[in-house]
Amino acid sequence: MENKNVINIKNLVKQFPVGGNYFTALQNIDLKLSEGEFIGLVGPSGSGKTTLLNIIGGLDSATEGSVIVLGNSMDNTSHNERAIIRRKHMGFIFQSYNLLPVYTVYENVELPLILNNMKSTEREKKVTQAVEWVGLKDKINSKPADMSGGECQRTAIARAIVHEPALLLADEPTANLDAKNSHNIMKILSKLNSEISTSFVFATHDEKIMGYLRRIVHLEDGKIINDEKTSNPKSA
Amino acid sequence: MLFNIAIKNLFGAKLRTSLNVFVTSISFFLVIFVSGMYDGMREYAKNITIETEVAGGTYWHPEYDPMNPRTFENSHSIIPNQIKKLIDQKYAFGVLISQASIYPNGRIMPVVMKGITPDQTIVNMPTNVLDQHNDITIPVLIGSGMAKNANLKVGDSFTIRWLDADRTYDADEGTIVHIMETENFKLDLGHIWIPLSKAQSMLAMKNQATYVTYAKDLETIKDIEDWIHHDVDYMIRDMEAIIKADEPGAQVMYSILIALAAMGIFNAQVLSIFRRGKEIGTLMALGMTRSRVVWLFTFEGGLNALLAGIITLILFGPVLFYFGENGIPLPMDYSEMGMLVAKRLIPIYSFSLIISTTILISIIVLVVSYIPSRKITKMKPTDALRGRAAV
Repeated sequence: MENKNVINIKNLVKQFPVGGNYFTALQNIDLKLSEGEFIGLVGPSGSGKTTLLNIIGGLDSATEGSVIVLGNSMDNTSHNERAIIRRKHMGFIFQSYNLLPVYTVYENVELPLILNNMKSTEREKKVTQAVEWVGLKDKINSKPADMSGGECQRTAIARAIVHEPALLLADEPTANLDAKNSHNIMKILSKLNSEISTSFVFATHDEKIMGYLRRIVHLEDGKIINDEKTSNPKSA
Repeated sequence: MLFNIAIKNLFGAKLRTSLNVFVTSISFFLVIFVSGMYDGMREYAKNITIETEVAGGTYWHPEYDPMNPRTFENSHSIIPNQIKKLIDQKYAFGVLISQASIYPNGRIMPVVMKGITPDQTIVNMPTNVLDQHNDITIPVLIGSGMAKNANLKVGDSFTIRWLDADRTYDADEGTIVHIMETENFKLDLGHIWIPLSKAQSMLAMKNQATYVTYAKDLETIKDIEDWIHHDVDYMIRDMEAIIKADEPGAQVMYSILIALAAMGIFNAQVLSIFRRGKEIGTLMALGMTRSRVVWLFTFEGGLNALLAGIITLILFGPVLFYFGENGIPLPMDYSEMGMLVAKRLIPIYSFSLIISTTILISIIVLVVSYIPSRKITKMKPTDALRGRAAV
């Protein structure tokens, strides 16, 4: 199962203009990710993990190098094409959840399906299933303001997986959560990974979740300093 | 799809939507109300002239020029037969004009003395009071402005001196029988009104008149000898000219009101959209294209304007209706300044005013929804996601 390339990055360089100069956030990044992998981009703040995640997700573009995600060269695609790739094949989980505050759990989870023009009967079925996966059935009509951080992040997970994407990108998904909620979230994600063929990429520096990762890519000062497979990861 | 999301966004964000809709509906209300007042003021001046002075139109003696008092002396003759018939049928009434002087409380005041048929009901003047005082030598009706200027009240008597047809000065005692409240200063300031028959007798001009005013909806008489017919349009031409000359002023005022409304809407709408920078970033991260995001927010703006229209109708409609029916009392009497301004200002909300205001404000809302959302979507999604949108 783990043989089809989901991500193929070669010689990636990312520079940001700062004043009259350029700050190099990523340099000489080579990374491959196969289908179904559960990997973490790990490193301290400023190491470039979020930048790399954003480039993989097409939210940002590389300065140099080639980035192929799900068979699409992200260097040669327009904003709209990248938006369509994200809409159809990717899911995002953010550190601060990024739920739409005026929507209920159901409506937040339903949003990617609406964007994909899915019929309402099918949407209802998929939303209910996703909400059940993350254990929020009793909160389905609640709004983010009425929920805890853990519940908000579980809603964000349901939103990210509801359309069963090929690739799920999570940026510090547990950074705002306590230990108990962090473990719950990772258990849910680990279980989902084993049940569906979605590949997971985490950007994190949270020690608590390292144990769940099956592959850890260490970043420091914009470079990959280590890429290791873990021997005995925790599971759901 | 966009419609569903826009509806959800609009009704989900109760406070934000309420604020935006309320600001927009207040703008609707203020622009319609103030412009309606302005239109009402101008229209009222025209209507009051028709109601109290012009009615259906007039037949003038050929010498008569209301702007030149020196013509009054010669502008009188026997009323032409066909016009006389109208008067006999109570469809018209005659007015005989002469210059005169009055001497209230020992002072001298030049006035325009007008004899009018007391039982006329064609113009809105209480002339019937002139017919109820047979014991008074010359019953006189004046306006409240004149009464104030001359310090006269009902029952006061004074000497009236006039030049009759034989070019002889005569004088007699006039007594105020009524002081009328009129918003047409042209009937009030410097005028005294006496019964027509009395004026004809005083001036030795039996059966004569200076002009005849006829009722509305009458056909024009052709056989009027050398008298001249003036219809309503002619009689209010000065008023129309003033209104026309005032058009640029009215448009400037309307533009200022729209600009003020636009600023209010812009402030509320732009603030609300820029506060939603993170939401826009999230939508883009979830795969909404830039153009769709812009469409969504513009569409929300359109729904916002639609809701504002409905709210204006519900919330401010009764207020507009109330003032449209009852008017707004003005704190001072503008007639003293020679202005035809009603004591109670009644706004007029014309169809074109409502439609143009609705279209303009809707366009403003759409533009102020389109521009900031377009600006945010031009940002890098990563910046939008961090809520870094700035005005």
